[in-house]
Amino acid sequence: MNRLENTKIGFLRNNPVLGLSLGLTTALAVTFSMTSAVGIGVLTFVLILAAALLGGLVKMVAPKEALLPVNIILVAFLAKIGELLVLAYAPGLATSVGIFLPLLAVNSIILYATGAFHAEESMGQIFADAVKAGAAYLAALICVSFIRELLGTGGISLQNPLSGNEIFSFSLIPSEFTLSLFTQPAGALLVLALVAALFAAFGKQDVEMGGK
Amino acid sequence: MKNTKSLLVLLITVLLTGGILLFADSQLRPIIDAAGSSEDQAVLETLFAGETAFTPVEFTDETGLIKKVYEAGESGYAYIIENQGFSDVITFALGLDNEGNITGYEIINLNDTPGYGSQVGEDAFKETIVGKTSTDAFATISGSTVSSGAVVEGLNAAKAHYNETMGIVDDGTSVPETPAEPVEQPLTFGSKITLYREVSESKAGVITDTVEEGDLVTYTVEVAGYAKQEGYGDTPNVISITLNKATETIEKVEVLEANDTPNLGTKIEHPDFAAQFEGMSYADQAAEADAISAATVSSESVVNAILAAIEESK
Repeated sequence: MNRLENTKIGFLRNNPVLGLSLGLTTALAVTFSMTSAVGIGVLTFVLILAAALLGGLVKMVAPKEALLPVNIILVAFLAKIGELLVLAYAPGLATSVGIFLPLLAVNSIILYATGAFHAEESMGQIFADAVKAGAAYLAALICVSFIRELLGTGGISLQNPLSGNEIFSFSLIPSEFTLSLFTQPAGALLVLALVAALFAAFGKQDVEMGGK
Repeated sequence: MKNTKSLLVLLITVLLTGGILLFADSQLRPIIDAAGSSEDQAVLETLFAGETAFTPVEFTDETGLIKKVYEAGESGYAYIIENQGFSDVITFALGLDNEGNITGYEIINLNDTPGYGSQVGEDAFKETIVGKTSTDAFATISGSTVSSGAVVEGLNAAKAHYNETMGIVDDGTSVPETPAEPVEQPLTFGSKITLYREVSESKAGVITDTVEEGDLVTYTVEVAGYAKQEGYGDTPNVISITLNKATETIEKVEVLEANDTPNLGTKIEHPDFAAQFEGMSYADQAAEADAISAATVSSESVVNAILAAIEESK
């Protein structure tokens, strides 16, 4: 079996963040609140789709050896465009995630989505993979951020990153019982591990088997 | 040959993406700048009454405390200033009109200790800033030196920038006015003190003055407080107690002098503490008072003084 089969993306098992640790830095950093997690998750999703599209086009003209460097440039380019758009239209999101917005340029999941590692696959296949990866990434971010925000602040307050208007919010845990640890990096690792374990447990029956 | 093609593709990609980025940046930059200022818009509008147009200005600031400078239409300049406070960064906005008068001071971010550092966000402190000019000095608040010091540092940075821009000479001779008074903290009461109880001779009150007006008798009592009991000082606390002999109630208690630990024992001077005795019946053998938490001994000394007065009146 091909060693690269290990990178087959699944939703529960081999979830890009929770199983394969792709784009982990961003996932840890932005999940302190659901608003920023959803914002960055959606942005990453869009970037992944764009990367898959551009990656597929590049593959038609570029020789195999040039794929990786060209795709790295494409990812940086897309991330920069994404950063500019967020700065212009969702400044609140840009302030809350800070440095992790430009750091999308080195997000491995976007590079993965360009198909640089699957030179033999057709464009359609790459695109389908990218959609799955993006959706799985977004889902993982939402799960982790939901738990972190709930435990860390006692409730959830989801805002529209574009307008800053509240979409919904509720408060469940009285403020005396919240653990601010969960809004901090240490809490991020704990919750991520927990969610990863849950996903792995539920993912046992997943037909999408990666690896050996 | 293959290598040449790879390089060519790479080169074309770099040029193409770079070009698109340059174009996108030039198109989006005005929107980004506007978005940045709209974030501050609400607070900026409170600095200048009726002013809505704020344009970001390029500036240099050696202290690094000034984050943004805005030209507020024709009205003056607005500053967004950030400095490390006691537990978190303090961010505030400052408005200066064209004559150098401070038109507004608004806190944007403040997470310092409630009751202490938080005072820099309260009206009492705000009033010491608004209305001053760019050559005035500012006082810190005692009890919240770090937080107010951080704010004053930021104010000075803004003043320096403003004076340089407007060509105003600050000779540095201005002295700060009397420091803003610390805001009186609400008292927290701890244990109960019963009025009638054994009091050793060294702790008992000594009547130094008696004034009778009909049923009302006012005693001035000297009583050993925490400082005297523990040998830290020789000066007793002085309490004035007015009793109503006819109804056997305490009419009024006033702490004339509190010589115990500043900010702890001296809390007995707080009007809320003395107020609890007013109207208390001393005919009731189980009468009791609330001690101020962390100032139990000093509170007891007041009760001892009252007891001495009651015994004297019988």
